[in-house]
Formats: sequence, structure tokens, C-alpha cells
Amino acid sequence: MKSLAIINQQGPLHSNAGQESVDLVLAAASFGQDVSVFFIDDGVFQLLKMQKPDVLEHKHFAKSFGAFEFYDVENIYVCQRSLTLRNIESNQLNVACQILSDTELNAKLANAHNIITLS
Amino acid sequence: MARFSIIVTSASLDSQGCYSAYRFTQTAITNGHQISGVFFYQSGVNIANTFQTMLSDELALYPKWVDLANEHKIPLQVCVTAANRRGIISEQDAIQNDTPELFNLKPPFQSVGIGELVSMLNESDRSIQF
Amino acid sequence: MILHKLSHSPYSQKNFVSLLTRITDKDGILLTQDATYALSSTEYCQLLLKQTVNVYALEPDTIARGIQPVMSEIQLVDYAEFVTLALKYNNVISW
Repeated sequence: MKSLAIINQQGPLHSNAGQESVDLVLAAASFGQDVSVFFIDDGVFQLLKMQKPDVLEHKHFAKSFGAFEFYDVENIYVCQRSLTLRNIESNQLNVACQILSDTELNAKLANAHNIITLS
Repeated sequence: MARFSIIVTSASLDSQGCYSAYRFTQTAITNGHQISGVFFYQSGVNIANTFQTMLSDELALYPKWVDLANEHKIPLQVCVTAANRRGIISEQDAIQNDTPELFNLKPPFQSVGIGELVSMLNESDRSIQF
Repeated sequence: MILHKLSHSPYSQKNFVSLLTRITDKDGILLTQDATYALSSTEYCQLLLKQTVNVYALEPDTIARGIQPVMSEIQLVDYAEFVTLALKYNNVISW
């Protein structure tokens, strides 16, 4: 089984990247890839519990993060520095995840067979 | 000799990415490597629109991909969900939509699911995204 | 050992500095497309070389843009060498 790292770098309403990342995570995992999901830079804004995209008639794709565990996607990694820089505390996040230092995060990326960034 | 998966997520006219992917694919083949396939995702699917019309003195990337794929039997796989969102419709989709004449995705481009990307990744040594 | 393929101009990529922290000294950096504009800035070249000595730039992309590289430590490569680099590292991230 090959590992696939998917990196989210943009906020939830920046483009359609967030939705297409969720599509990719769920489909790749259901076809047997060992998927890990990374949230870095503005990508950490996708994790805000308080977001209400329905105000702008947008689908709340971040709700699907809760489904990741049912697809055996348990490696959800978040960049500590990106959170700190944006004044986000871990209790504001919408999914159980591991908050990693740069060194830890880089080591996880180095181990992935394939890496796809969504921006 | 190695096997590559090429992933294209950038739209052909929004950045140089789709052209770089073409040059990389072409060079890899010239140097004796194999291409498991090219997977078009996000706005990368835009290149599959056969209705694209460039002015005569401009770079026309669509026919370059078509020629490369036909010459070397490279699968050009277009994610159906990403494509439909952007108005890129295969003949099969058009038939399902009850508008059998209205399609703009033609061979050698193929409309596929993400499962094809997974198969491609499983059989290649390296993937590279543009 | 990751090959970090950069394609955005350092002048306009707001997270350029953040991106540098993802690069370790064993990794490689390949400047492509608008990222090759970094080559004409001593400051940007030094920032890149501080992360790793393995910094490359895709020569056709620099020639097409009329860029004059200011530091010889950054190696110019053609598409064939780009293919070789992609295999030399364990994986490739496209930023």
C-alpha cells in the first residue's frame, strides 16, 4: 500500500480547493491508499469550528473532516506555527488532529510516497 | 528507467504549469522512462476542452498533448467530477444528461474517477504535480 | 530527501518565508516558472541557499523570462536534468 500526503494551503472560501481536497482524500482512501492530510499556512483556516459558509450559500465541506476516520484516514497533521501566526487555539478546531512542529511535519512529508498540494 | 505519474492541477492559461507538465512528460519519454499516465485534476481539467481555439500565432497546448498521447500511448485521464464542475463533458456524460450532442471531452482524453489516479500511483515509481 | 519544486515568484508569494521552513538541508529546491525570478536577487538566493546547498533552477524558464542569475551556486538544469532530479529525491512537492 502506498502513502499519499495531501496538503491544504488555502482558506475554505479561497477557491474550490477545499472541496476537491476532501473528494481526493475520501476517494483515495476508499481505493486503499494510506492517506494523510496536512493543514498548513492558510489551510489551517479550514479547521475553524466557527465557520458558517452557508451564510454565503456555500457547502460546508469541512463537515466531511469528521468522516475521515470512517475511511481509516487517521493521520491529520496541522502546522503549529501556522496556527500560532493566525491566533488559532487548538480548542477552536473542528477535527481531532495532531499539531506538529516544523521538524515533525517535515519528517512526515519526507516519508510519503506521493504528495499532492491543493491551492 | 522509471515510471512516472504526472498530475496536472493548474489551468493551461492561468500558469505555465500545464506546459511544463507537457515538456517534462515528453523529456521523460525521450530519455527512456515510462509514463503510467497523466491525471488532470482541479482546474487542470480545462486542457481537455476540445473547443479551445487559440489564435494562429499562439501556443496551442491541446493538440500537443493529443499528439504526445497518441504517439506514445499515454493515458490522459481527466477526473470526471472536477471536469463536470467546469463544464468539461464526455460523450458518455452527455448521453446520460439527455443531450447526446453536447460534449467537449474527446479521446485521447478519458473521463475517469479518482480510482484511476490511485492505480496510476500504485504502478509508478514517482509522481510529480504541475 | 524531498525535492521542493517552486513555481511562484518570491516577490508575490506571501508565504515564501513560511515555505522555506519546510525545507531541510538534505532536501533539494528546484526553481521553475516564476520562481526563477529569485535568481536575479542576491537576497532571495541567499535565503534559499541557507536552507540547503542543493538549489537548482530550470534554465529554459529563466531564459524565456530574460533573467540574469546573480549567484553561481545555483545550478541551472535543463528538462532532462529535471527528470533526473525528480528521481534522485525520494519524493517531489510542488509549491
